[in-house]
Amino acid sequence: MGDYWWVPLLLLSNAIVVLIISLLVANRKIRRHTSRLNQVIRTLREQETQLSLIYNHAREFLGLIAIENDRFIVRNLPDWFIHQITTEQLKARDIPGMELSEFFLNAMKIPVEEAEFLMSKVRLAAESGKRIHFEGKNYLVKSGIADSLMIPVRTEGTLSHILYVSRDITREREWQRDLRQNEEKMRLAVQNVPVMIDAFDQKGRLVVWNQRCEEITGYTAEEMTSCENPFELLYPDPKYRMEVDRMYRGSRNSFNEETTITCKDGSKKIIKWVHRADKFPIPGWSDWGVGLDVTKRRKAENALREREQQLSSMMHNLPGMAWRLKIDKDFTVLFVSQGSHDLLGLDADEVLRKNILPKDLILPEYHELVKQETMKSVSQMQSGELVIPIRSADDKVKWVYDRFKPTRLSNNEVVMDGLLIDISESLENEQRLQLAIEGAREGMWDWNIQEDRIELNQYAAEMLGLDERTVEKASEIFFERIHPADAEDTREGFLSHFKGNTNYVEREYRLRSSGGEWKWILTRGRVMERDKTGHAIRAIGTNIDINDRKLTEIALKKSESHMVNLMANLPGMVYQCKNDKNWTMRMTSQGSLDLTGYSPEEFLTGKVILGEIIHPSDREKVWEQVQEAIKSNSTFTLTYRIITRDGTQKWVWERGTQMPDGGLLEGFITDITDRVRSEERVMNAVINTENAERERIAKELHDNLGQKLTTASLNLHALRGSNLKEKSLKQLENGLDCLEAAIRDSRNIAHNLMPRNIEKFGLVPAIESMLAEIESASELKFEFYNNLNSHRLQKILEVNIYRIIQESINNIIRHSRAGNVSIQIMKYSDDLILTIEDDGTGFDVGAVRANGKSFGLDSMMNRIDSLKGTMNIESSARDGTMLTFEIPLDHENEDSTS
Amino acid sequence: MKMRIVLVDDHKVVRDGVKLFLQNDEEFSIVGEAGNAVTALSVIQRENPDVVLMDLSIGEDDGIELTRKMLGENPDLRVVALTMHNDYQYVQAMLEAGAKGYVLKNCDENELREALRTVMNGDIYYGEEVTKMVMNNMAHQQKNEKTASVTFTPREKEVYKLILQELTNQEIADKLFISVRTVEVHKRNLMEKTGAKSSTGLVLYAVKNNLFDHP
Repeated sequence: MGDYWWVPLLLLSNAIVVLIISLLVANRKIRRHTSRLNQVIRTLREQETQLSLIYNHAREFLGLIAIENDRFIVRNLPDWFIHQITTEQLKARDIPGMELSEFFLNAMKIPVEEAEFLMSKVRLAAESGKRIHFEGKNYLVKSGIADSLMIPVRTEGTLSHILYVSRDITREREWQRDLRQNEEKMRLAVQNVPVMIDAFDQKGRLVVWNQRCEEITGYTAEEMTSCENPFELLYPDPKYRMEVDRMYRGSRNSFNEETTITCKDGSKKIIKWVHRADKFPIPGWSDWGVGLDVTKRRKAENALREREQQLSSMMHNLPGMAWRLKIDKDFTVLFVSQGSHDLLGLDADEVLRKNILPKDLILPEYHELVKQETMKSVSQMQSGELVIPIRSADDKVKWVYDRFKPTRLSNNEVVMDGLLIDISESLENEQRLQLAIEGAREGMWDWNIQEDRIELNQYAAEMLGLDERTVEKASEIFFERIHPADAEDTREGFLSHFKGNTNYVEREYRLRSSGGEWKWILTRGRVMERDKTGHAIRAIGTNIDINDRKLTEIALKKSESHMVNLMANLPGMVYQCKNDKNWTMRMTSQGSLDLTGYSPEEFLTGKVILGEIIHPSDREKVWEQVQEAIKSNSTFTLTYRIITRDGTQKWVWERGTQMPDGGLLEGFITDITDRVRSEERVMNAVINTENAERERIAKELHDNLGQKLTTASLNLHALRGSNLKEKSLKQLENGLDCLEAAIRDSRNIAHNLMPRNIEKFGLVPAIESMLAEIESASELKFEFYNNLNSHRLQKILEVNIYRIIQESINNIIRHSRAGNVSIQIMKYSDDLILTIEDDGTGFDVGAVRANGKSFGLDSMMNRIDSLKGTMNIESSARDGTMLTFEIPLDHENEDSTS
Repeated sequence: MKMRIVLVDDHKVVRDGVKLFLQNDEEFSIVGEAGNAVTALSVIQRENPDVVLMDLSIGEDDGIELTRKMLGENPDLRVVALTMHNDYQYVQAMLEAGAKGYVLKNCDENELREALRTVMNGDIYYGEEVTKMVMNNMAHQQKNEKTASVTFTPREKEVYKLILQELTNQEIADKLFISVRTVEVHKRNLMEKTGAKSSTGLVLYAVKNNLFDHP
């Protein structure tokens, strides 16, 4: 038995070997298996990390969709969501495993189209294996906007899941919108803030130029930003521009400079620029700044500084010493001007340094007075004045005139400003003057009031017509001799002064001299002594003969008041005006109201303008005549028409002249309408008589002489048939020729005296007939135009117009060498214009008029004057001559004479 | 048979002269005379003459009126004006009144005879001088009628052109070396002629009537 002990051992060892082998095999399997497990774990861990990341980041929603056999199955959903969608019919446990499209439609109740949209995104993610990002409605909470991601998940290389991540971004979008709106608001704010804002981008280009910048500079944002270098616009001077450039290169943290810009309209402005871009960075603006227009402030500052300098220079150059005192016990000096040097012998700063007080300067006996006066002035806040002696540094006593005024400073403190002027010299002068008076031609008097006795100097005695120089019962004699009209006032003046109510007495009055005539005297006097109760004891004074002065003065006053009265009462308007076409009034007397209907105020304020109320036809004439008179330095006399306030026309006469300084015109305008009317009547009567006479003669010539001549001619003609000797026949023929000529002449003379066809057929046919006749007998060609339309004018007008045309044509034929003449008669409602144009050689109007060799013109002038019209001649060698006649139509007389 | 003539003239010398003139003539006989309108009318009614030699101004009476009146009563009457008036208007007025001849008093006897013969034959007679004058006037009138619408003087045309160029009165005055007042006168006349109320109206008128080639 012992021999087989090795068999179980062998079996065991075999088993062990097998076991080991199997163990080894198993181990390898296990190891292989473990490595696979590890791989899965690693993948899972990766996915877990990924998922946890997603979970962490996607706060809102996360769904896991599995892909199984190309179908999308819902796997995992957040609990809150499942809770939200579960109902009676749909249990939470039913949800995992649902097909996605079914889930969308039935569980989430998304409309078909939108579910399809989501499905398409899922499919896209699955097909492309890429994340699909989209934004849309938030279906999970059924409102707002969601930002969603479909993330494909791979397991072992194959696409196994889709993660559906969705996030509500409604708020975010709102914030973004708010942000945009805020940005917009900011931009508007920047545009419209009442300060200048400019900004530059990284390249240094100007990108912001707000409205205020535009307003101040005049350059629009467009102009500025489109400009290569906007500084060239703002700083046109290259030197200054370089300086500004350099300035701008400084730190952006504390940039604080002023520049002088040139605006679009060329004006200069001072701008204070503050840049804080480093401290307050704004994205997109590498530099930005704020500008303030400080021009006015600077100007005001400069003006103030200048004013200050000016004042201080004035202060220091004052004829005297100015100072400012504190109102305290000692009146401490706060300021003193350089005048102290002259007045006190001390420099201004020395006065302040040594703390010299007014009481150190003013003589002690005046201290109380000065103090009282000063305090009185302060309490009443009124200025005051004193004459006081002061002691200067070199121990001289000087009399000063002290004028002082309390001033309230801005801090409400009251100080005393004073000015001291040295009057020692003038006081001395006055004393000297007093001495001089003794010997001068002034009457001195010394009146002992209590004894009523006056001592007079020689001159005063003479003035009063007295022999003796001492007068007893002085007041009686004195006041008795004063003119009754002046006595009361003079007596009152003296008494009031004697009572101490006035400082002195000064009166002008008439005094009867010894010769009995009145003489104007000026008396100045002052009480020199008073008794203890204040009664005047003694007064002295002067009498000055002011008779000549006074008489002149009175005469002047009289003439002045006379002038004023005269002016007010003149039947017309006195004026002073500028020499311009408006005749702009500087002074107008009350008479303007009567003359024109406009008050002096209306003239002075320009509400009405003389130049405009002058009749339009006369304006040019008035202007020319006045200018001509001024040129020749003489007065002008004018007659013209004005249109008054109520629209009536007045004839006025004016005489005026330029004032000696060559400026304003002075003169007088008066209404001569009545005169003109009566003149017109007289003139018309004269002309009518003349015309009647002409008519009579013409008729006489025509009818009597003419008829007789004609008869003679007829009879003599008859003789021709009888048997006459040849010689007699010839004589007869001669006689007949002469007779023919005589008949023609008489007819022509008659026609010239009074063209009878005017009266019978009217002006237009008469002119036409005249023109036809002249045309046939000369080279002249006429154009005749009129708008009378067979309207008849006054007879006198028709005759004169006919004559004027006739005379003009005569002149043209004789002098002008014209080929064509245009004659026009244009009738308007209140005037008539006759123009005669020719294309001849023209003539020198001035010379012809000046030579007085112009019978043609003179006769025309007379005619036009008689019609109150105007004649204007314009002539040149190039354009020929044009005569313009303007004739006012007088409707008043129209009916009576036509 | 002799031509029967009545003389109407307020001057006896003339009547005597004419009588002397035509006296002892085989052709003519003066059958009556009158020195005023009333007498003239009764004489003519009484005598029923062939021809009346009529002065145009018979004292206070008007020969033209008288002619019209006579012819109104007796249209076959032949009236010849014998007058000193050699104005076109008189000729025109007389012919309008129905006169058949117009003879000036300074005519010679042949002319008068010729006139009487012509009107007797039913024709119209003017003397040589009268004919010339009538021709002149008619020529002138025709010319005026041709351009009767609106005509402008050379100056007016110049001013008009400058108005079209929108120049002010002052500028026009400076350009033409005339005064502003004259420009105003021209402008006023232009407006009156064209019926324009303003410068714009003038421009419109110029365009409408194609006044200037290049306005």
